Amino acid sequence: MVLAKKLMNQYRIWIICIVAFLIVPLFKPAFLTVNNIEGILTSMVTYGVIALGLTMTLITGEINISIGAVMAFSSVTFAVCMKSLPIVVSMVLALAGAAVFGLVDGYFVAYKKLPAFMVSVAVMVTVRGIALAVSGEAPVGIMSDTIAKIGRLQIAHIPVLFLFLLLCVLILELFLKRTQVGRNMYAVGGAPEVAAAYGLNVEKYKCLSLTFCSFMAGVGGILLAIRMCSGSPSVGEDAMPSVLPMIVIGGTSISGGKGGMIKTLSGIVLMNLIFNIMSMFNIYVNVQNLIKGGILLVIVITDRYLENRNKKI
Amino acid sequence: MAEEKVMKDGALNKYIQFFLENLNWVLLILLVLFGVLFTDNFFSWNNISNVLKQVSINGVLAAGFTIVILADGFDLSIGSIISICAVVAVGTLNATQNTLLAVLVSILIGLAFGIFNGLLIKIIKGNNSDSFLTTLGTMLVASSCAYTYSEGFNIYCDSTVKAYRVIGKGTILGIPVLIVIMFSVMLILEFILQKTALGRKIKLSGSNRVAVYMSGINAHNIKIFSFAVTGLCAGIAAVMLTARTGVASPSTGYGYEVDAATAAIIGGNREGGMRGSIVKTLTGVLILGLLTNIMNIMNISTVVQTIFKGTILLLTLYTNRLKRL
Repeated sequence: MVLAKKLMNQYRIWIICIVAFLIVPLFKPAFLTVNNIEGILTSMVTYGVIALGLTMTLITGEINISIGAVMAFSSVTFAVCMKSLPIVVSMVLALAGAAVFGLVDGYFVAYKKLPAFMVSVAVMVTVRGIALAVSGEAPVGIMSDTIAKIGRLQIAHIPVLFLFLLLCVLILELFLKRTQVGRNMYAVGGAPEVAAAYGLNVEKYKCLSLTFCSFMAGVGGILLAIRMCSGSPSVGEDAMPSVLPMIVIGGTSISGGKGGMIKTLSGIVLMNLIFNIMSMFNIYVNVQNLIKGGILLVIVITDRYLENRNKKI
Repeated sequence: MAEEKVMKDGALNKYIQFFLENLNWVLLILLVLFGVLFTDNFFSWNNISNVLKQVSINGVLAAGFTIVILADGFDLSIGSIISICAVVAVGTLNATQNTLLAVLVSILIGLAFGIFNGLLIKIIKGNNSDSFLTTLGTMLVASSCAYTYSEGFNIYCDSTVKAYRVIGKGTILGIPVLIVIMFSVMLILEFILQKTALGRKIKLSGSNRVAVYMSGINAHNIKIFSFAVTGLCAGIAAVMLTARTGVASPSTGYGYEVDAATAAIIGGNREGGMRGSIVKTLTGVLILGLLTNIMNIMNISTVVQTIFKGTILLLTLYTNRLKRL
């Protein structure tokens, strides 16, 4: 009995997902069609990889809100580079740019001790401007058959992009749980003073995690460009309020030191199920935004309330 | 040897400290000089009142934002609060033809959202990074309320009600009403901040949580007050904006929170700092306004202007940190 309760608690998000899969088709039979499920799997990919990057940042106790802008930047850079350069070079350029923004963010937050969110607001404003400048303020199309094929490629009805997401989850989870560097991330986030006393270079880890977050935002941008066959400078406006609930529902704490990639995957699945179900039931976009905002509020408040309720100040 | 080491390890050289402390004034004087050299009639009444009218809305918002920053918070939802206040105000104006009621409705809705923000922070006993996330949620909620109320359409002010548009376009004793509103709001908030016990408590509750707890000051109620002030300023700004343009849409206030934050920070206010003041914010607002003005005259595209402003924000965040608390 105790074992069952413990399992229920640990896997509660997956259980909710399975329950949703069982209940919703009773109301909307279209939910269980191959088309719909392929659609859910494909839509999980873009914000999914960004969620993985942000998880690493949250584990070290920082936050980065420039992810939407970096995603837009990397999608337009990829699209613009694709006009004259081969695929791999374009990807490398877009990812390098994203990593540079992450480094700037990480430098000011970790080494100069500026507040993380203010720095990322400044970086977000700047990067959004750069994305608009690179793309000439309009979406940039990609005229490449290879890209179109990659976007639609499937193995046994499962989109290849989704398999890429699963691969990232696997690699990053092994990194976090089985390598020394990964485990040090938890220490840096959960108890920075203890980690510093232990001899870990706290600043380096925080800078690394912020760079990684922007890098994954870059990957997300490239994946979006592949899916849409175009890069647009105005995407990602709602990246932050969509990605953060995925991570926090999954079990990662905003204050750092707890969480994991597989937990984030459960959050990604649940949130995308919710979005898909909302559009299945034809709910208006404003009401969907209201629900998104409500979920974000509830999640942040529960997480922080449980964290802070025993503190006196 | 020991004395040299202390000199190097401690605070920066006192001249550099003085320069950093008054960086906002230096930038302002530089920009005014630039304007005088490169444009004619810089000090003409026409030009001055134009610039001040342009920055008036940002000025009101930045003044409220300063209070929140000094109380160790961050309000991302100001833009969406402006949108919901704007659409409801113009809707009320068209329905009741009563200017005073529309203004009151806008202010009350702004106040309500501000108090809502403050209550959320009180429940979770949050610091500035939590307030960021909760106001992000409030931003979505307010924005979707605005879209639902207006059903996605623009709402135009009823042209038969002249009194409302006077707020945006009229003058009192020769000074445009917008400028009068901005200076009154700034004056009141500066008085509260520097001359009253409440203002001292606001500055304290941002800078040292432990000392505030030990002194018996209820930091969380102070934070509720500071968020309420920001909401109020957003309501006032919504009235000013719709009175000036004559139209309200659910995306009216989009992006205003970034400009308000930039103005407050460029002015030299540090989050949780005891030396913050609305005068500094005024310099920040003027710097931002003059910079935009000059860049427009030099025909620099809006996109490059945004990149430039973002970089300045980042640099000023850094220089603010180098100052003493």
